Amino acid sequence: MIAVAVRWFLETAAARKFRVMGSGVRRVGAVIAAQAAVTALLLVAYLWVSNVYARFLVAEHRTAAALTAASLASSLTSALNERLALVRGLTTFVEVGSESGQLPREFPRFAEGLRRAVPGVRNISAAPDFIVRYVHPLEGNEKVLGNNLLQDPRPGFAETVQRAIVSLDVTMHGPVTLIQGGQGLIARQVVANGGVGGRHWGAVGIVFDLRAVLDEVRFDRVPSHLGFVLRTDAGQQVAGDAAVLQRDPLAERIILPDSHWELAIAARAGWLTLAHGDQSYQAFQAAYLVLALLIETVAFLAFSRRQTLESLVERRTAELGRAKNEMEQFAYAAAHDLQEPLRIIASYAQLLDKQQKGRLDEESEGFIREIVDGAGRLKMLLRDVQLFLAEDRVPLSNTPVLAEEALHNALALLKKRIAEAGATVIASDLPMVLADERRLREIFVVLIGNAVEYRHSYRAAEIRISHRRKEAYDVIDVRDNGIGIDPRFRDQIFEVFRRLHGRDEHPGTGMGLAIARKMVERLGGRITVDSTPGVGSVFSVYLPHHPFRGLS
Amino acid sequence: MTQDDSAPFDILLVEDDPADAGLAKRALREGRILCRVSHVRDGVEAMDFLRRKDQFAGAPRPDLILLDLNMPRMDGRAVLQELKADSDLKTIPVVILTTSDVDRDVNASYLLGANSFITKPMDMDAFFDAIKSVEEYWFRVVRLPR
Repeated sequence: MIAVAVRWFLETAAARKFRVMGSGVRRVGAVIAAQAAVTALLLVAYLWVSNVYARFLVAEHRTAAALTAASLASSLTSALNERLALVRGLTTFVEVGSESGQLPREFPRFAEGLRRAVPGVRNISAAPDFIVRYVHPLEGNEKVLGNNLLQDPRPGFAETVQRAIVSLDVTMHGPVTLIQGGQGLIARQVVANGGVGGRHWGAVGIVFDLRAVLDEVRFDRVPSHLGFVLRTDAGQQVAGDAAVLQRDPLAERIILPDSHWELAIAARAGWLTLAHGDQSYQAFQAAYLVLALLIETVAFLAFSRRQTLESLVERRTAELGRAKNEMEQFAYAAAHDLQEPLRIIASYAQLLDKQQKGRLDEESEGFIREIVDGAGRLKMLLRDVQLFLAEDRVPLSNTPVLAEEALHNALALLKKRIAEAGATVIASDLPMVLADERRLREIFVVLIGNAVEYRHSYRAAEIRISHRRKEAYDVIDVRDNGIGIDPRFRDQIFEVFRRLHGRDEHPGTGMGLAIARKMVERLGGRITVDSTPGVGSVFSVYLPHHPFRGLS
Repeated sequence: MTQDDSAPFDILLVEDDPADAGLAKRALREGRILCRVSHVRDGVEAMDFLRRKDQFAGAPRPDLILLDLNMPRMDGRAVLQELKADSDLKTIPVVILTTSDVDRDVNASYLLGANSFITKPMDMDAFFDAIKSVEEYWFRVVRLPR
């Protein structure tokens, strides 16, 4: 049943796989795993619940079987006792008859009465001095006459008579195979009185047909799914099927005057099999199947919904990443393509300026200068935007670079500005770092350029570049004595287009520190700033330290 | 399209942007060497000009080609490829004059047989200087095939 549910689930999961595609295959795997866990739980629950329910049904069946056994035992007891009572009656009759001397004449008539009292009486006999002298009916029983009961060679026969002598009550022997054919029960009682010289007179006996007794008890009442076995206390099988004893049977005792019989009843195929074949058990299975399918379906819907959500998030994230990428590519291409018309504007404005020099009034010449200036600023801006956006794309050349060399190259680029500002740059020894010269140079250009630009108006700019080790980093500090940065804006200065001053005050694109930070991060480091307004700032560039053996 | 029929040198300028072409022509005119500049707007026209097709039936064979890379219809790379595969035209020196400064473009151009690669300077003076030095170099310093 569960196997069907699992197959159903796997098939639908397989069908789903085609719908989700792509990364869905992995997700479907997760859904299958989750669903398999639910299925396993349902299976464990099924095993437990079905076991409990089957045991409950077994108890019910055993109770019903116990009632049947008790009823059968009671019927058997009365059928046997009815027959034993006949033996007692015969004993009394013989006692009386032997004293009066009427026995030979009366015996056939009395015996005939007894024979008709219950079905299946094979013969009735009397044995004075334990030698059979009377038997009824005579026909067919002639061989019995003259039989010495105490010396009967058949196993159990003489012993039964001895037992009867001791108990003086009815004893029963059997079932035995009768001379006349079939199975019989032999009941005997010793006739104590009437003997000569204080000895017992002898014994009486009645042979009952076993079949008739069993028919009277009506063992056919036992339901077909149950089996029974009837045994004597000696373990001899009287009726039924001995296999029942292997099936955890219910037992009932039938008490006889000097012994007992035992009736055992059990389910023919075993109690559990019987319970499993029970209609209510099958109804339970069907109900559980329906419930399990319901739970599997709900779980499946829940899992696949979750999976749908997850794949949706994944797709959206990928889309966002793509959109950002496209956006950057667009910005990069735009920055590049804008340079072309910008060059035309700037060039023609310059051309106009050159050609009309001295022929235009001062104001018009001012206009042209504004165009050229604006174009120049736009040109720088486009260059910085491109630099910023291309940063991720330009490959790293991870070769050992002497930071001093990068600084030297940066200072060469800044030579004019440093000279114009009258600034002093003091550099101590810088280490060998694993970086690329182009980025490191650009970082120096930005930091030193800023230090020059934001110098204090009352004192000459002094820029100190030094090196220290901190943990796993080589730190290069660029320290100035400039105007400093208001602590409120300290976090903003590394953002794109973030400017703290008006353009007329300090020109610039607002991209420099953003570019520097991006480059430092690409090199595996970070950049920090410490500043006191009015005193100066320290920009610290952290680069991963590498021990260059034999190089530095 | 052509100017000064008596000039000793012929230059073919392949440039789609008229403003850019105007600047280049002006720079060439300011140069000290007298030359005749023919201007075409894309690669198809350039090839027609060189092969004297249709409207260019009477076109002169240029001594130097100034070639832009990014153009409509047929771009500079395709022109370069076709030019260098033509046994008659392959001897004409080609100077790439473009806004591109991408290494890939530079390498590809030289690989296709370009003789020089110039990224147009943003500044007008620098641009004029570059054009003038091209003129100077090819028409005064080196010896051209005849």
